[in-house]
Amino acid sequence: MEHANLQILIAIVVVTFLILYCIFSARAGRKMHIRRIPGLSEIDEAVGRATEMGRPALFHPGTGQIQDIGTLSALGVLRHVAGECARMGTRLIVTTALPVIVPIAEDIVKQAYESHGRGELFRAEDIRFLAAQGDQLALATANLMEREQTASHFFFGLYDYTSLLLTEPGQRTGAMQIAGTDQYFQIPFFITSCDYTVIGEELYAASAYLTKESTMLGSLVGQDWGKILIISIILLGAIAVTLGYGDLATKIVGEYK
Amino acid sequence: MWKRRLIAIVTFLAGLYYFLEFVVPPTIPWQSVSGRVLDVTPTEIRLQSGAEVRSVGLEKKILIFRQRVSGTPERVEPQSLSAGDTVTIGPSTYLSDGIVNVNNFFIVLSTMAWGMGLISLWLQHSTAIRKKSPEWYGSIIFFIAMVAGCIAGYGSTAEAGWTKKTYDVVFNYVLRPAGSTVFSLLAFYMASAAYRAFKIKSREALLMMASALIVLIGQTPFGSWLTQGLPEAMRLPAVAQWILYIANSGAVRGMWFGMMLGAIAVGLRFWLSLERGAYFDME
Amino acid sequence: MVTLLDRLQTIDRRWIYLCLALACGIPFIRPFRLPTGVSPETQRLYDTIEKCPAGKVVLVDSAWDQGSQGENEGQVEVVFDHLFRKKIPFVVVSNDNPLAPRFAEEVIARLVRKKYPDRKYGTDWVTLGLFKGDWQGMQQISKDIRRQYPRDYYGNSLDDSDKLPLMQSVRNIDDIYLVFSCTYTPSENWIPFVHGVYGTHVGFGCTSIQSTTYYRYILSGQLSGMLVGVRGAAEYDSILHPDMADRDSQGTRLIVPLAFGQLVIILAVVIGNIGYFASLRKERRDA
Repeated sequence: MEHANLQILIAIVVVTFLILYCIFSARAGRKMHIRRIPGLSEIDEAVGRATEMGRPALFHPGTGQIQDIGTLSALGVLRHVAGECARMGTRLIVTTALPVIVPIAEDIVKQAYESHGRGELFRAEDIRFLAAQGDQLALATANLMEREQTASHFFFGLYDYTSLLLTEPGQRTGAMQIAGTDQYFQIPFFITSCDYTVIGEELYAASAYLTKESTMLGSLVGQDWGKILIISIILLGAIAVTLGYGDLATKIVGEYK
Repeated sequence: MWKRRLIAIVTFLAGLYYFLEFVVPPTIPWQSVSGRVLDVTPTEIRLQSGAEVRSVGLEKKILIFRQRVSGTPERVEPQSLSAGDTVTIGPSTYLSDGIVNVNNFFIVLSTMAWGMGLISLWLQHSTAIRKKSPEWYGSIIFFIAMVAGCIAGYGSTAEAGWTKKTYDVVFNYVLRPAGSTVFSLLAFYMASAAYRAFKIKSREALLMMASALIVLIGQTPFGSWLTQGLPEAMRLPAVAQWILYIANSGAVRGMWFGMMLGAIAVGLRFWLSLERGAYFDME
Repeated sequence: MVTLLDRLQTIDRRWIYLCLALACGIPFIRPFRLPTGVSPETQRLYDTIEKCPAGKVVLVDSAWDQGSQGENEGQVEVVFDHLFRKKIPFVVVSNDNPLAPRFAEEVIARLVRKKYPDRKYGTDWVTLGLFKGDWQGMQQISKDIRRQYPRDYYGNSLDDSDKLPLMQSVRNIDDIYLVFSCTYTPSENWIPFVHGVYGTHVGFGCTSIQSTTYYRYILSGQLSGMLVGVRGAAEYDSILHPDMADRDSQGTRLIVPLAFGQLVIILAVVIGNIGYFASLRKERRDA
């Protein structure tokens, strides 16, 4: 559809209202709880492992474009990982397939190290644009894993078929691997070759989970309310069609090709 | 401080344009007329709108949308209308007029990133050569490959000559086999990953294993051969199809609902500059 | 015995690689054919193309390169074969992959050389090349193809009726009957921005791993068919050439090594589980 009809407009307004209401409620001090996400809560342990072994950690923000939600979420996770590495004095290497990510990642990691008083540990050459194509990037990253003997790997963002080309060599080096992607079809590969996997929208929730920041938590709760709304509409629609009121349901909800 | 405010304002305005272009109809709703075309003259269009006949003057800012067979509207000029067409006519809201140019702007912007990539690589590798960093000879190979790639680009449309030969070497004899080889690594990695990780440690794992085996065998010729004696609906290919179409589709739809709502929430946060962390200030 | 079985879960992965290489390699040395069924999504794409009305073209978004060549090349080959056979003109574009047009042109050149020597560039097909911007590019193509492509891949103006007579009758989405997007991951934006707005048929050719996300579109009728990996190409070839001896496409050639390779993976999983349960039994016995 090229333009919204009345039903879509109502849906946009309702979902936006729910999300904004929860965001501003959280900012006003209302406590919001989200369940434990195993992959994200093990990030600190993974950084600790790298620190104990005296080896660097590796972060790979995926192969998506900068405007992709998954890439932006991955950069949120990078900030937390960089903060933990700075706190523990561990070296962090970031490899990327997008040149525009390099200055952003440099900024994030540098700020993290400086805010923990470890500015001298930051190395700009550890933020590397290796290759634009996914398979070349995967091979270069695998080579880097073996050369630098990285102890912990973090794969967050959008991934294509090269996901296994990254994680399988990582498995062989014995590194602890945590991955998160919203690419549904890459999740099985991550599950088989990583220690912890963050699935689908848990990646979008990562920033909220890691920072416990009120805006993020509120947004997370708001979108859950949106999901409840959609599920209710689906159930009502299914019941209506079963009882023979399909035409009425279609008239209310609208028809979309 | 002013930088953050400027970014927030520009982000909001850019998102606002796309949002309004989507939700606001292309013509002003209360001044638009819908109906069936009776006839068209150079200065006006006569429509049967409900029980009455209405005339709409053809002013400059008037937009005409004809309903296609599929039900979606298409913008048309008055001269392409014929009697019997179902149309909606009204004054333009001007939002949709600029969408093509706005799209072009963003396409050009995203293409600029390619130039940035080249500059970034150039800086990185020239620094490595100057400082004699570890494996700096790889950076020399990078520059040689870059020059060869540029020459090969000229050779892509050449019929013969040394540029064509360079193109053949770079593209057909190096890039293509290398890319295919890397992709084929996946097959081996998948085999070792499956062997290592697919253990039936729980009931859920058993369910996953069973469906994986059914789908895997069902999609090969062996699947039909193994179950050829069974009724059509119970053969492996049919069961595999059911798993892919019904069970899998339901799971994927559920995941996509969640992910799309998550994307809406993240998009809303960025649009309204409510995002915190990463490259925004902390509260 | 249990100790021996227990060792089955710690086989060196290089033995598995060797078995896989042999299983996939031997069918190339001693080629043979296996009978192929036809899945509903493949049949649906074939039927859609069969119903293409006169005067319309098919837009082929061929955006694959050497990475997914094994799966996608066979798919475009059989679809181009079908389009040539039915004399349906087609326009080739490529979503965000500058290498892709060259790969598509090679497949077309091979088909023209082997089977359809009377087909001419500019009359039977046109290659327009790369477009960027994903859904924004799709919107441009749908509204006015010349806004996106003033020239074709070889630099000819789209308004040049001598060199590109086909393009004189292709202005926008109204002249396109079907969009067939063939790449590793076809962009789902073809569905809301083209099928959803204009009702144009959309078909996908994708790798097997990506296909699981697209089955829901076939159920809802938003996709008019799909070719799934090498299997899809082999199935389409079997519809085009009911006699097995006539099939010579890449899909038909690759389905045999694929089938044996999958058998090796299944065996590896089964052996791994036998070893796992043996080790469990050993632990219980020792305890």
